[in-house]
Amino acid sequence: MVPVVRLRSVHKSVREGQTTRPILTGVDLELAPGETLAVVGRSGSGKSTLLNLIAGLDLADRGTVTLAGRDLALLDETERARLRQTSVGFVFQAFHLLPTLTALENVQLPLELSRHPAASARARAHALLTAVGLADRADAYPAVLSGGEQQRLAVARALSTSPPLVLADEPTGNLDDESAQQVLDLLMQLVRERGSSLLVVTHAASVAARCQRRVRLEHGVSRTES
Amino acid sequence: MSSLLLRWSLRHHRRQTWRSLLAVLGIALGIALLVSVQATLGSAAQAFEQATEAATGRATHTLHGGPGGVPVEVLAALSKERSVHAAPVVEGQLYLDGRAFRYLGIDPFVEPFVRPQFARARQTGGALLALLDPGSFVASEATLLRAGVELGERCNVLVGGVMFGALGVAAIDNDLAAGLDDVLLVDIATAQQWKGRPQNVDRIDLVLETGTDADALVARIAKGSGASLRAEPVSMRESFAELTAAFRSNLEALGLLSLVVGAFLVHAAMRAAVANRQVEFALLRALGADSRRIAIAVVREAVVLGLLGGVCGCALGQLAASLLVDPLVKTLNDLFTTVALHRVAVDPWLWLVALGLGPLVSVIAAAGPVREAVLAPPRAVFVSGRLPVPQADVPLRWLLPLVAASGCLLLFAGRSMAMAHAGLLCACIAIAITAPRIVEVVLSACSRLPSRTSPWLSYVLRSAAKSRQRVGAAVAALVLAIGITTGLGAMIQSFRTTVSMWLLDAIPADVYVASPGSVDAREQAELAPETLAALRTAAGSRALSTYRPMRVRARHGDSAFEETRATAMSPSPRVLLRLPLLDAVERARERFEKGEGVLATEPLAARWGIRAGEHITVLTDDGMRDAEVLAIERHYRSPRGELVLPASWFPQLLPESLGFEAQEGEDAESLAAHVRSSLSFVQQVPVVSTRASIERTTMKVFDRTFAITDALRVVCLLVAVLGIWSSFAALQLDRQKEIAVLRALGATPYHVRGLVLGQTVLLGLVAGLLSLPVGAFVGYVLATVVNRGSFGWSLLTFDLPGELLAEALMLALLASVLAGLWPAYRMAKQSPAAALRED
Repeated sequence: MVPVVRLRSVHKSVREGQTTRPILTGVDLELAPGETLAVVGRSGSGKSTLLNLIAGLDLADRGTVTLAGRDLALLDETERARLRQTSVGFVFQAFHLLPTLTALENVQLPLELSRHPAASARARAHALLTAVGLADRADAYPAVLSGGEQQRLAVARALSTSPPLVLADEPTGNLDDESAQQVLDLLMQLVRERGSSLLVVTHAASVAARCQRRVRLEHGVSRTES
Repeated sequence: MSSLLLRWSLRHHRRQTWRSLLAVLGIALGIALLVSVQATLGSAAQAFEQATEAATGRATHTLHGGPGGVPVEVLAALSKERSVHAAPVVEGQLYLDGRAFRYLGIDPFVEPFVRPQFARARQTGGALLALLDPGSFVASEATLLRAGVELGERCNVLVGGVMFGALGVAAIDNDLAAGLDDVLLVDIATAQQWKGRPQNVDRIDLVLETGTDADALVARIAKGSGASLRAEPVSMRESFAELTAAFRSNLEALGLLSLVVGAFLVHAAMRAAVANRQVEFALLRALGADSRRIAIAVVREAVVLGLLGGVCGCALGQLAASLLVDPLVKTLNDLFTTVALHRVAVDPWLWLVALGLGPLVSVIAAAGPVREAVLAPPRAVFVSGRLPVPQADVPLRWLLPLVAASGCLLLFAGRSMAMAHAGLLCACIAIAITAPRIVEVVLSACSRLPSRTSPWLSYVLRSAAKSRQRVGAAVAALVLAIGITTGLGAMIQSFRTTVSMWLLDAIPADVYVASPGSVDAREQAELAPETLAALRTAAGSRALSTYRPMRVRARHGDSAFEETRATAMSPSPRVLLRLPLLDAVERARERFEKGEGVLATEPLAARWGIRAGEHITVLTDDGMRDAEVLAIERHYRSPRGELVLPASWFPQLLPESLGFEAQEGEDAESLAAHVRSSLSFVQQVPVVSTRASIERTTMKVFDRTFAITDALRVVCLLVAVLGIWSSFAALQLDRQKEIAVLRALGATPYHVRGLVLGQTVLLGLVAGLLSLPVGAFVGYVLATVVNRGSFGWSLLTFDLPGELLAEALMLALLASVLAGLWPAYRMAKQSPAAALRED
């Protein structure tokens, strides 16, 4: 089976003034379709950088990153964006919902970007809002939603295009325990139902424990924990 | 003040270099405009005053006669007076190698007593006496260089269409030649010969000993010589500032307006700087910094930006002034008086004022942002993310008093330009307060339309509408700048249409023959008797009108006598019938023809407060004459206005120009050819023009007059474009994270470019649409209140052509596209990973 994500000897450094600081120094990683994987590590270990490389938001200095069978280094900016439209859903720690769009429109937006017909996009967005328990808040703006509701909305948005891969960056980091549990349950359930793969970057052991596999990032390299 | 707080401020602006530079540039452009206009007008005023001073020297009084000048017999009578030094003067214009110069005829024997500086020519003593050779002249080294004349070399000068031989005999050192730019000093006899008036001089400058009664002296001399005379103290001469007050005031108002637009930029920059640091301000407050310290820190930033803007503005303004010299001098010479100005001097006082104005405007513009900074709640440090931008709009309750004040000021402005400008300023502030809100309402309304079908379009529209707090000031600046430039355009267009309509009545003859020369020179020129004889023969049975421009001294009521332009006219029946009189005053035309009164042009009537039927006193060659103002004439040649007098009052003066009317079936061109052929054998070479060519020339002069206003319009627009560019750039920079999220959701660089450009174009389009009624309003006020108050001109029509409106809309779109290009490129290129990493 072709993995959704494959990283081979990936290196990435960042410039800090006159010096260059290595972040990733040879990461190897694979994620099978439908698999859930937690990437854990200390702050600054490169977890978010890894996420950006996988989503094609940034490019590796060395090594190859393959997403849905395509080498990201061979794609230009627009092609990578198109690939994200169809293959990746994002859940951020700080939610990052668009404040000027309603809940329904926030979910509908990725569908419109990937040129889904408006009517079917709207129906699918409604269905997803129902799935995350926000059907009655469809016309509400993010500012009036609670933190838990906002993250549930973000989960619905991430899954709106039924992407083969969902990337979640500390999805419960800004939530209380109860809300965190609800969001995590919902995320796992929806990912499982749609057969998507899930890659979660997290500090929380409870979140990592819910994934099938765990990888620890340390000193720039990845080490499988289970 | 803590040095750490200072460093904190400096580092912020160093990180936001572009934004800070744009604010500096905005204020610099506003100040540059003011400095350039003031420096050029100041230098022109200095040149004018120096020329006046050079021409009057130590004179305490000037002795004037009627329009024909002062008879030479008066000089003989004055020479017998012991307490008086009297220096006769004859002035005029000549052409040397195709270039215009002035000649000043003086008496070398009495000059050292009146104008000692003239005696300090390089070949002292002998220099002025050398003028006694007919045709000899003395000039400054710079003037000789410009004329391309070597000392001792014979040359030809053209005076009143007649060629005379001349010889440069001495040069005056440039440092002694203040006020003698482009002036040839000649002997009084040479000047009289060139002018064709051997028995008269233009005026006599008098140095009266202290205690001498000027009026008694003049009465004595007038009685003895039988001449009509009047002595005026030199201090009563009108200054350059008085002559050009209305013109200056309008230019200065435009400069100030640009500064106001520049202030909006500083306001926008300071708001952005404050909004970006809300959490930092809150943190400073949580750490113990009081409101005063924070306010001082922000005000200090504004002062530094304003000071930098002031310095750059002064330098830019001085540079622009050197480019403005030519068009401005042409305008001044067309409209007011002859000024010789070749370079603009640096005025330290002007620089000082401008340097002070920069920080002052910046601090006023930063008042709102300072308040926001001070009010940043310390609890904000505990809130994740940036605080919402505070609502810092000017309250709408200010609108009513502003509109009321504007209405009252404009309604009762009358001749007060200060009131008219203040009224316009109040209106502009009201527009600036309302414009961003209207933009928000319009875009919000638009965003509701597509929300069911396209979240993307909703997002574009709603986030543009919500950006009011960020770009409101820039949008207001754009609405104002385009509205004002459109209004100015409408005013100029209305004026242009009025002038071209007026010309149909003002020049009803078919062919005009005039003595050559500029406006000033025409007042001292006349057609030679042999030329007149040839022309009258050529006219045959055709109707003729005669014109004689001149300067007369006149007064209304008990006011002091004032020198004013006048035209002595003998009109043909057609010309008389078409005189563009403002009111249908009974028998005014008939009575004018009979010499029973005078006409006053509209600007003069407005300036002196004359109404038809009132009386004025005119000093003629035969003494003072009480005259009834028979009617007010619509007239646009001179912004100072003039009198129209019956030619029969000045029988001794020859006309300066003639108007010929073609016979039945004869066209203007063939009549002009006939007239030209009649002049083949006369020495004088007058200018023969058809009505059509005069109309063309007039409109050319009109366009040249407003060229400077056009230049100022461009600068005003440039400031607005910069403003909207800086605000949009700042807005997009603030939304980096939001755009990075969009990229993560699958938005392509194309989407991002479309988003940024789409929003700027939308804002520009709405601003452009808003600027149309603003332009119509400003244009109407300028045409009917400011223009009338400044010059006394009433316009026949108010024109707001569709092209002007389309141009306004295009300008707004162009400005917004230009403003959006860089942010669009930048946002599409930015790394979403880097923006998201800042979480």
